Amino acid sequence: MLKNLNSKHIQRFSYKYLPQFPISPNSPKLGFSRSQIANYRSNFPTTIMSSSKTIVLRSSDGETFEVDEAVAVESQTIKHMIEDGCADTSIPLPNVTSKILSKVIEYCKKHVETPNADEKVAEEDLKSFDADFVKVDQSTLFDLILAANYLNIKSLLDLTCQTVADMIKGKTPEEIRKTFNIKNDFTPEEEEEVRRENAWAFE
Amino acid sequence: MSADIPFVIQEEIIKRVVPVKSLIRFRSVSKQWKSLIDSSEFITRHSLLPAKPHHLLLRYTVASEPKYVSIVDDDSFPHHKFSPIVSPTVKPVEIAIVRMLDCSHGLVCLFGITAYGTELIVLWNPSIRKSLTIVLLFGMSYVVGFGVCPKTSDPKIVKIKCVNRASAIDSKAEVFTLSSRAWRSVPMNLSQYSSKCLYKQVVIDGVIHWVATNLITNNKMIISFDLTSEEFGEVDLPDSLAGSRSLDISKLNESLHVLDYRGDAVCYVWMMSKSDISKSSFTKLFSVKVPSFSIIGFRNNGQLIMHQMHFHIRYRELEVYEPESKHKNGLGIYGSGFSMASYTESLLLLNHYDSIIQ
Repeated sequence: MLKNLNSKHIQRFSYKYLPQFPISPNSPKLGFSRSQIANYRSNFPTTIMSSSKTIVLRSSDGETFEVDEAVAVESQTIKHMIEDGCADTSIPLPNVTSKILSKVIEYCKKHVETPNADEKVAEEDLKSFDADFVKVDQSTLFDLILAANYLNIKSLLDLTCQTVADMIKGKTPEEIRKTFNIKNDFTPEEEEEVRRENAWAFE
Repeated sequence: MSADIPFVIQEEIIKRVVPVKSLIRFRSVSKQWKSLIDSSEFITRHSLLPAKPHHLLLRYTVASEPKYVSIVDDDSFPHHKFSPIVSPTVKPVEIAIVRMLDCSHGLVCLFGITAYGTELIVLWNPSIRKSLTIVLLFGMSYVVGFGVCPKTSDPKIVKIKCVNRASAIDSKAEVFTLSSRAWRSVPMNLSQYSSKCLYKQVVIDGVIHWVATNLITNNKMIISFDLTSEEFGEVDLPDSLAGSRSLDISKLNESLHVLDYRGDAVCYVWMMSKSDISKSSFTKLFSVKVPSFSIIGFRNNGQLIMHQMHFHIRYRELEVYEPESKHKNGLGIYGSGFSMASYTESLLLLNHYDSIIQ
């Protein structure tokens, strides 16, 4: 059946015949197996556009995610790994769990797909996606920050850090220490002195 | 709680916190947080944050008592609560603050006189309640300008010696920078001008602008001082503005607006735009029926703020005017001696002590 398709068909419709991500051993089979793809590619090497190359990412708990290269290189860390030739089989990400990695991939995919952020409708759509994206519990939000930092995804780091900055602005110093697990290294006298310098801010 | 957040990440979060009051409170979290917030790099970066809410800072007097009010300039205007600002506690206490010059990067510049006739500048940051007094030389007549250098976040004061007669050719100016805490001479290579009009200043994109009169042609012109390069410049006005007797300047969204008060109680509002590198062009926008010098400024959305005299009460009322619909709305603020500047919060002066600089 594959041999009946001519090169024009393949160029236009190849995206339909490639599996969507995420693929893990437990998710239902969509599309072709990897060996079928490899066979397909070897038969029609020039007709697959390079933008449809996929990268496999492995989370800390062993799950694999296959993503378009264009989506994966939203992460500068992954981009450099690919450029350095470390991405032949799969890229291990020991600092990111599957739960967080799937969210990060969802974010990158949306941001790559949005064609032109200058158009008003696309911009509004992206803004509302971002606003919903960060409506998660605090623990997940902090994990997203750590992942965005490790994977070096600037826009995700901006979004998540700004969200936390807006969240903490009303907190007392004691609440801040609890949130970030910070040890109070002021002596009681020192802390009193700092407070007294701007007592009005604590009313 | 969650995984340990390294300080590098905490820093990414802290530097995105916008409200100044929160940052002041966060100084007591830990020594690391305090030294980060107190550092001049952090203060400079915070003063340049783009997403800060805009305010209008208003100064007026009621029964000879000065009052300061900050109004948030967004869609809730004017229904948002006006926040009265605690007047600055300045040293020495026996200063009479005469007028507010301008606001820049969260700093308010006030001009005051002591009982002995010494003239002073007070740099005041209302959001952190800190002020600094700078003594100007006694007995000289000059004009003062103020601005914060956009590159270095360094507050600067420029002092121009008054020139009223064409024979007084030596134009001298001195610049005070807070970083150096000292005055320095700067050259002023301008054509003959009279500094009588250098009263109201407007800072746009790091350049101070004043209206001046050319002593030779008797025409009005604009003098500028670039806070980064510390150079003076001149802008020629179009003929109809240059011949006007009463000109005032104001700012709207980083562009200079000229208010031309004509004799028939009408004011023409013009806008200056920089078409290419050095050439400025002026466009007449609209006209509004108001008494002379009653417009004190613009809101971000282009509405005018002005004061209106009511005959049955002693004070003037502040009003907002919409140019398109020509509607006026009273703001319920009564007083006299109104002046206004656009204002955003900043941490400038945090790492300075309240002091007097001679």
